[in-house]
Amino acid sequence: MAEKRLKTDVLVIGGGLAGCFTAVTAREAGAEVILVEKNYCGKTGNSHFARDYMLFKEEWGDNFEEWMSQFDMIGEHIVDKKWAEIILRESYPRFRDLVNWGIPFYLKEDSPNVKREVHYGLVDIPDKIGFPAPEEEPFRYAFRQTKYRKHGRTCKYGERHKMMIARRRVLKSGATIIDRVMLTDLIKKDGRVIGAAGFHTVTGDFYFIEANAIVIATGSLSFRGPAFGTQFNAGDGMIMGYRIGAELTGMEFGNGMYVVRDCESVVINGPVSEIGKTRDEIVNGLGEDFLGTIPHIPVNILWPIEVHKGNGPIYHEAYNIDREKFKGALDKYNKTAEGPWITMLDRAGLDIFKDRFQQYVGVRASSKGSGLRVNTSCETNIPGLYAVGDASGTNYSGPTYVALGSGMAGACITGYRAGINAAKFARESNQLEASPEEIASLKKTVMNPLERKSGFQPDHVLMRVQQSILPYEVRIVMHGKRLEAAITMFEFFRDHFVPKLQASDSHELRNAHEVRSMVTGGEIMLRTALFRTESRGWFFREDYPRRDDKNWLKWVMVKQDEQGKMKLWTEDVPKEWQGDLSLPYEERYPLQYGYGEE
Amino acid sequence: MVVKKIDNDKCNGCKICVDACPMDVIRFNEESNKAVIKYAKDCICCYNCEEDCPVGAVYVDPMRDPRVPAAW
Repeated sequence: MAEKRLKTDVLVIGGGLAGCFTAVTAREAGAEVILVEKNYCGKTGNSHFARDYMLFKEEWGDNFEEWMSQFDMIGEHIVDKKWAEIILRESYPRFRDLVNWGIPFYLKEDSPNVKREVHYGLVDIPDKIGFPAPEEEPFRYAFRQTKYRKHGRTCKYGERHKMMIARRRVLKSGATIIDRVMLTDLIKKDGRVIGAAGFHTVTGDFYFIEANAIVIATGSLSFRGPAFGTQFNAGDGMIMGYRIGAELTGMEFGNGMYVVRDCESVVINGPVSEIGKTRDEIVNGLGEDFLGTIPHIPVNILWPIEVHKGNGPIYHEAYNIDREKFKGALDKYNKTAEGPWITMLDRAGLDIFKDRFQQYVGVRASSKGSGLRVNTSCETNIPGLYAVGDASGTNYSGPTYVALGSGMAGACITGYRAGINAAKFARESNQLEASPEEIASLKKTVMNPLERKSGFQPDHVLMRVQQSILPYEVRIVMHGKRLEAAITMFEFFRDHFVPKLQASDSHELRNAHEVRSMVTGGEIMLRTALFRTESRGWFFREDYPRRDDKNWLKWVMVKQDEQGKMKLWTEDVPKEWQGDLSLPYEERYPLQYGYGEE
Repeated sequence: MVVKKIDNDKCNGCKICVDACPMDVIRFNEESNKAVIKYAKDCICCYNCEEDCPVGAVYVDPMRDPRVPAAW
């Protein structure tokens, strides 16, 4: 196995949309750029499987104050408003960039710029674009317009090849792309990050790349669970940042996706309404419509609470749709970025339009706006280290997901900001070199599992990690005692499995490093969740079922201290962002003021 | 289960499915000049390979194996 050594101004780790945007921006700002992707850039990243891009534009009649107040209410008063404002105001310019790249958004007939604009709850989607007319609508929309969720606009991407367009744009800019190389460890000198080490997942070659600035674009922290299009996100970048002292924020918050139990590769967010007219389609194990019983809770929490009461499982009642009549529409639905799930369901022998079928909320791991804590230049606390997209901790979304499509907009916006700033940083700083001893030590860390003749297989550790964190009672309906029990397991994985991970080939070496990240990431998520002794948004603690405005208008921060210990602390949400504290509880949290029996 | 089959008679050795896989499940056999399913256990059923195959040689089953622990 060979050893490759490369040098560049800006190193981008991760080739989803945020990484591509960073690479193009930094390159065009004059920096030499290498983008490294553990898969094939253009066929991966959450963006490859995503469909919505949030758009805000005052010229179209969007009211800034109203949107912000909606963000604030849904994000339950711990939204970083500085970032929320950036994401609103820069969504349109970055959208224009994507259009200029040639990314295929659907066009609406009367709009020259945007192929299809979809407002939440607005169902006048032209039939020719791929969705049936409203009176024939076999699908329902999540994030339906409600009394409380009034504002929103997303633009829909076309099919999955959009990321190949981004790849071509990166190459056109003059940046270099290295596919199938997984970087796993960063190195610092004089407090600054100066390089990253990893390996080629096919050839097994060792890679060391020196760079003046490094941008983490590796997405969220997932546990290879059922949540579609996130399974390759093992938190690689967040955790390698954490290991050199970078701060993380928002890690206690999680996200969920609705998974079809007997066809786990299908996530149906579309047909299931969060709150709204379609709730009669969902019943509990007793056949009861339970969504009406506690009207103010989002499904992400309400379903698990219903199951927790012993009333599960949760069924989706059939629509009784005439498939033949909608054949054309279904074929078109099959071609969206979320995947050909009509075909998948057919192959699983399920007809969701006739059969009653079970669904559950799959843990999607770290939330939007959770990750490496960044300032508005996307810098972390480590000089030279930047974070973008789902790997960046901006806290714009609080303990929920404030706006459909804001993740994709955020990827482009953070990518753009990081690209400019990383290029500038790289230009203004001297290159520092790692010593041969330091590189040798990094190589040992990276390649060790491959050299071990015996030890623990990554598959075994992955199975134990999943069993310990994916069940609803651990990370959805939480309780201090259960979190502590899970932490005990993660400590064991950390101390016993990780030091003796063994990989039989370069593919398994990737799995070994992914579970290494998951074990640390899982411990961070569990400890931060235990630390926040209240409930807020989708974050629900059975033992602390109410918001605690007195003590918890705060963000939880975490980092590894000099002794290698996990250190947790809080940062206050600025007073002016806390909302009106004199309001009664039900008015302050109108969307979701209760979690059931309290 | 998972990515179940790459039809050797149909496969033209274009490697598109190899690039398309986000989990490094499919590798290329230089000797036979065909794509092979090497790490099916890591397949996430994303369907990229079947969707991108220009000659319709790939078939993906929608169930992962081993199955993922359900939330409940």
